[in-house]
Amino acid sequence: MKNYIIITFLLILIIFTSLVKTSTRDLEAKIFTNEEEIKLLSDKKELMLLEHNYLSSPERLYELKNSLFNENLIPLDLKRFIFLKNHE
Amino acid sequence: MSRDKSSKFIINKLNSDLGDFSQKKFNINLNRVAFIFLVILIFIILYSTRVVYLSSKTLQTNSYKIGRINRADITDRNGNFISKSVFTSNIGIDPKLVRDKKKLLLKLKYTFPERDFVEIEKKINGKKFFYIEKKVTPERYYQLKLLGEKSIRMEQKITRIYPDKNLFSHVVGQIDDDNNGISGLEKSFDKTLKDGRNSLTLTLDKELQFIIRDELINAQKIFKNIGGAGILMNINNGEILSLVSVPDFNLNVRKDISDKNYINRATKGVYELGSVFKSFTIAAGLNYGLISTDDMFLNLEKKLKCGRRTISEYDENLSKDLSVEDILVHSSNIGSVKIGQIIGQEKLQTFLKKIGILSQLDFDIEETGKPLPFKWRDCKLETISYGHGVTTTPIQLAKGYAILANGGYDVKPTLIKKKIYNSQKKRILNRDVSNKINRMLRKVVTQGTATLSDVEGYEIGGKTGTAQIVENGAYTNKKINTFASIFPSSNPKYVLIILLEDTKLSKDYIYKYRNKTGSYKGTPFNTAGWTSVEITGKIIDKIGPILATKY
Repeated sequence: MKNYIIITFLLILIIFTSLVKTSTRDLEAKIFTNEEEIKLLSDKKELMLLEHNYLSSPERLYELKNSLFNENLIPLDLKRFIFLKNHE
Repeated sequence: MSRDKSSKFIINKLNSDLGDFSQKKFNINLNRVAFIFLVILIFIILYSTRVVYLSSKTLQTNSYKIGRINRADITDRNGNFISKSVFTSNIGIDPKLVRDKKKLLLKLKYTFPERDFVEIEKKINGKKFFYIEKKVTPERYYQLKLLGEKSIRMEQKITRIYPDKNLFSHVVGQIDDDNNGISGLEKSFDKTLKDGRNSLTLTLDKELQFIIRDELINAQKIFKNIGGAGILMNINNGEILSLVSVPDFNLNVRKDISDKNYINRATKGVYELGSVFKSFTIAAGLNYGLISTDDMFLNLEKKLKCGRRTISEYDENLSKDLSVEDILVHSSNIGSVKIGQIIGQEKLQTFLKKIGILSQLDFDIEETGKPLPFKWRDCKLETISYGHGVTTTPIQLAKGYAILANGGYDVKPTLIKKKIYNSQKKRILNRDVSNKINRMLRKVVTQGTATLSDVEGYEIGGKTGTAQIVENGAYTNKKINTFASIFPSSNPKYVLIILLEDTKLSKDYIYKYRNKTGSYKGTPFNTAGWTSVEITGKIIDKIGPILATKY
């Protein structure tokens, strides 16, 4: 009788574990999908950043400056710099 | 009695008959239950096996990561991409799979209206696979996919993109078609980049790099020099903020650069740099306690015979009596020779070795030059004292000046951004010597040979160096003009080296004086003071505000 109880108990445990594992597969699938979406979005973000880097590169800005206005840029005079302390 | 017996017998028989019947019935019931239980057990076992099988199975899904790019990006110190790997598509046609050639041509004409279809038609009639377009845009890729032609084959390839084209060419280097680095950082960090986990962050700043390159290209227009180099380095931690060598090349156009003029002058070029070495001679003399800045050298000759060579002053109007400080400020050759003779060969050699001038630099890229070996005999001590007969690379010169200016600590130039730098610094020079050198270098700019770079507010100090180029073992009239500057000299943070190779005099260029009003048309002398110094001033005009606010 004791053996029957142990066997039955083990059988129930196996089935229960298996059921839990099976149900978590849905969760795993969801996590996987989200991870994949993150990867896709981060790749997209990197490509956007690449585009931004190109469009805002000093070379391109100089080209735009030359095509849009002919005035030469004047370097800032260090004396005109005011260093703010604690955002005062 | 007999009646009793017979009735007992009947009852017993009846009982026994009834007992057999219930036993039988019970046996039938037990067999049915066992059967049903067996069936249920089989179902349970089957179901459990299936459940166990399903649960043990790993999730089989096509990951986007499969086939992802396996070469990490390279970024500048502010996270701007310097090189990035992206997928591109090559489109080709396999003529063997073409069913209706006319229909295919019509479809292709619609998609590629600008292409020459006589050539394509010939190829379609052949048997060999051919590419119709390489590195197509995603829009065109999808357009072609929608054609639904079996004969159109699409290959995805990894392409390395360099958004800044030429800007970092000598630093970053190139890769081959098999994703192997063949030069620059792409080669020296090939394994790390292939690992693909984290991007490689450099110490370089895109904006500073652009400004310095732009001014070096402007210098080529003014002085018609064949090439130039610029290095901007933090003297305390060795971080290189900019490393430029011109001419350079577009990294996106894969070309075999075999022309020697395209070498990395900043790290690979080995040059005799002239008077910039005088700072090292004087620093050695001060560090060994053999001279002091106020020591006077009286009745200095204008020419000095040394073996078969004659050493002479560049400026014949130079005073005969000069202090150690005057020797550096006015760049006296004879005065430097005298100091060198006081120091002696052994000590000067030890000092130059310590600051890393004479041996090949251990650097982040493999393209580093090896200073030419020489023997300390004949007039070597004398010539080396004023920077002749000794060669080194501009990056080693930057390192040497960083040591002179940073309080005397050893520093390792680096292109790779680190979170923590080695706090235990090895001292090479006394702090007092470093302070004295900084003060003297400042005077070179305010009173000496480098006044054109005296940008207000930045306290620039530095030393000029004009040397003749050696070709086929003999000195020529061609010049290498170098200016090694440090700023701000009261508490130096940066060293900037500007080298211009084979400069020519400019007739039309207008120099605007820095510390007085007026201007001067045309380059009077082909020296560093009129070429490299002028370019350094223009560079600091532009990078100064960035350095002052950003760093």
